[in-house]
Formats: sequence, C-alpha cells, structure tokens
Amino acid sequence: MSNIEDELIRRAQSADTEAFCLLAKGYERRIYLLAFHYCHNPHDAEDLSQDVWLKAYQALGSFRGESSFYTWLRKITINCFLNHQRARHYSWRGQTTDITLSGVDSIEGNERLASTSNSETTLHNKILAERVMQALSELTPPQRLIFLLKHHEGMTYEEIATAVGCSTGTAKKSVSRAVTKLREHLDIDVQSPTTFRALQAKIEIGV
Amino acid sequence: MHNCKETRNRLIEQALEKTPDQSEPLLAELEHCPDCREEFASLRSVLRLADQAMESALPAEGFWSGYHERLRQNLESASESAVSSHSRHLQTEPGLRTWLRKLVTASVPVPVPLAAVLVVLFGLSLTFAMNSRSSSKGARLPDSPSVVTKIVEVPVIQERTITRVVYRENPRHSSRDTVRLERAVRNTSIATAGQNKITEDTLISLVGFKPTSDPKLTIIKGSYRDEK
Repeated sequence: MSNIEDELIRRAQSADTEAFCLLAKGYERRIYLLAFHYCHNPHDAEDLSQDVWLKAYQALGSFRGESSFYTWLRKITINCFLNHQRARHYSWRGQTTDITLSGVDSIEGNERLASTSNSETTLHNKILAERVMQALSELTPPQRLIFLLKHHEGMTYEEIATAVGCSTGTAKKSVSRAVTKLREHLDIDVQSPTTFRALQAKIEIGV
Repeated sequence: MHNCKETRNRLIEQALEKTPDQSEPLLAELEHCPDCREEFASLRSVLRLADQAMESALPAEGFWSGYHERLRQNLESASESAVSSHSRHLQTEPGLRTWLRKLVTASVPVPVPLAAVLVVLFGLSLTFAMNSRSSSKGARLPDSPSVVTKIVEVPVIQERTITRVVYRENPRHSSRDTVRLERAVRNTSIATAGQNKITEDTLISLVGFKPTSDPKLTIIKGSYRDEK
C-alpha cells in the first residue's frame, strides 16, 4: 500500500469525503467493469458500483490494513453483488436469468463507449462485446460472478469459494461452464478477415 | 502416459493464466499431442478475445466526471443522514428520560370509594396469600424414606473334603515286607536311640498293608455262594 493511499484512507476514516473520492478514483473503473459484466446493464452497473462505494465509505472505519485496500474493497463488492442478486430473487441453482441484454448499443447511446468512430476496430470490438455478453447472459448470476472473479480478478478457486460461499468444485464447474459458453459464442476466427467481413455484413443488415 | 481427456480438463486452468508458466509439465505434455495443443491455443484465443471485449465495454472518459459527481453527492447525503440520525438519537435520549420521570411521578385521580374497595381487595388477597402459604407449610409431606446401608454378616457353608486312606493286605508281599520293615525298624531304632521307641503293636498292625489310591468296594449281597 502506497503512502498516498495510506494517507487518503486515514483522512477518509475521519469522514473526509474528498479523500474518499480520490481513493475511489484509483479503483472505480475496475469496480464498474465488474458490475457491468455482472449486471449486463449500464444503469444497474452504475447503481451497483455506487452502492459498493457507499458501503465501503460506511465500513471504512473497520478497515485495519490487514489486507490491501483493494482486497478489502473486493470483499464489499462481492457482498454487494450477492445482496443485489438476492434482492432481485435470483436463484442460485435456477435457470439463467431474464436479463435484458442491452448490449453495447445502449452504452453507445449513453456516450459511454471509449471510441465513437465507425472504424473496423470499434465494430470488431462491438461484435466481440456483444458475443461475450450473450455468452455470459446464459450463465446464472453466481456462475457469472465466479467467472469474473477468476478471469478478471485472478482469484484462486479457494479464495472464490470463501468469498462467494460455495465449494471449490462449484467454482471450478462455474468457470468451466463459462468458458464453454464463451467458446460456443466466440469459437470463430473473428480475427480472420473473411469471417469478420461476414459478421460485419450480418450486423449491417441487422441479422 | 498422455490422456487427452484428462489433459483437456486441466487446460482451462492453464489457459486462464494471463502468462502461462512455461515450466508447467502440462505445457510440456502438449508438445507431444497436436490435438491438445490446438485445443489449448483455441482456449487461449477465446479467453483473450473475451478479455478484449470486456475491456472495450468501459465507458468513455466523459462518463467518469459525472460518475464522480454522483458519488460525491451520494457520500455527502450519506454523511448528512448519518449526522442527522446521530443528532436525532441524541435528541431522543433526554426525551426518554423526561418520559420515564413523568411515568414515575404521574398520579391518576381516583374516587374515594373505589380506592377503599381497591385497598380492601389488596388486603384480602394479601391475607389469603399468607394463609395459603402457612397451610402449605403445615401440610408438609413426611420426609421421603432415606436409604440406610447396613452390613449384615451371613454365615457361609464351606465345603469340606474328607479323604480316607484304606489299607489292604497284599499276601504276596507280606513276608518280604515284614522282613524289610523289621530291618528298617531296627535301623531306625539304632539311629534314633534315646528317641521314641516303636512298639511291637505298631509293627504288627502295619505289616502286610500298603496304601492304595483306588479303593475297591465289595458289595456283599445274596446267599453264601456269592460271598467273596
């Protein structure tokens, strides 16, 4: 933990909201991205990530520096995600949820995409993002969360099992299922020009 | 021995690593199996594409200023609500004290006859309670029987084994034994001169007898012909 971060934490613990905002700046993109891939909806992602920061601010007094700030923040994030899931009556072992796949179009509509140009790269990324979201939407929320924690956060299965409250076997199965789904949706040579043009044509004609 | 099915189960774990460890035996194993190598490459490319796609979903820079503003507002409102709830809590504490004081010092106007009836009823119930208590004391149940341990000596009949030695005359050895016994007696009398002296009666009574371990019983019954 850097000295600046230490200082910001100390100030935030004494109810300095400005210091907390500066502290949040370092991790907000990571938390938002997790929330976005978990919810598949930019509005829900913002609400969820804001909720994470609010919970973190309220619980900051309990932070003793035994782990890194981000590890502590991630615990709060996971709990927020799980509570959000419970509030929405998602079931652990149920079928896939009926999340409305807003896709990247809605992000673009809200001027949230990093690039707004109609370049090939943007289109390429758009196709990929849509496919990834489609694949992840076919998972249950806990499976999605486990995959994100493994792939995005690089957590071990044991850490995931403790954080999410499942067995390591369940965590492994969830990751395996997520990879299978991703392969189903992405196992095409997207980088090959022929396939890419075919996909581009499909998107343009609205198929 | 390479098993494609087993190897493929372990490939996901290795493919999820951002930088696969080249010293991993699994990767060395892939060198010998083109199918597994292809599978691994496919997995890696799928996960890399997923990663790329997920990163591209990040909002534009313009989004973050608004996000910060909303976060600041949320934090400030949370702080205000925390402060107001704290102050409300502080305000309610004196109110509670006043309420308790009022409760203790409160008085209710009651008509005199009703008060008298209440006092009489209270007195009666008190007397009844005391009476019932004393009667319950008088009608105490006798003490429950206590268990006393007492040691009583009981005579035990002991078995006694009686062994009887029966001597039987052996005619064949009688003369030889007599001579031997006489010699022995003579030797003993010489050796134990001045000690006990074996009498002639003892010699006569023991001659021709020897101890036996299995006594033979002879049953005499019937006429003189069966006599033995």
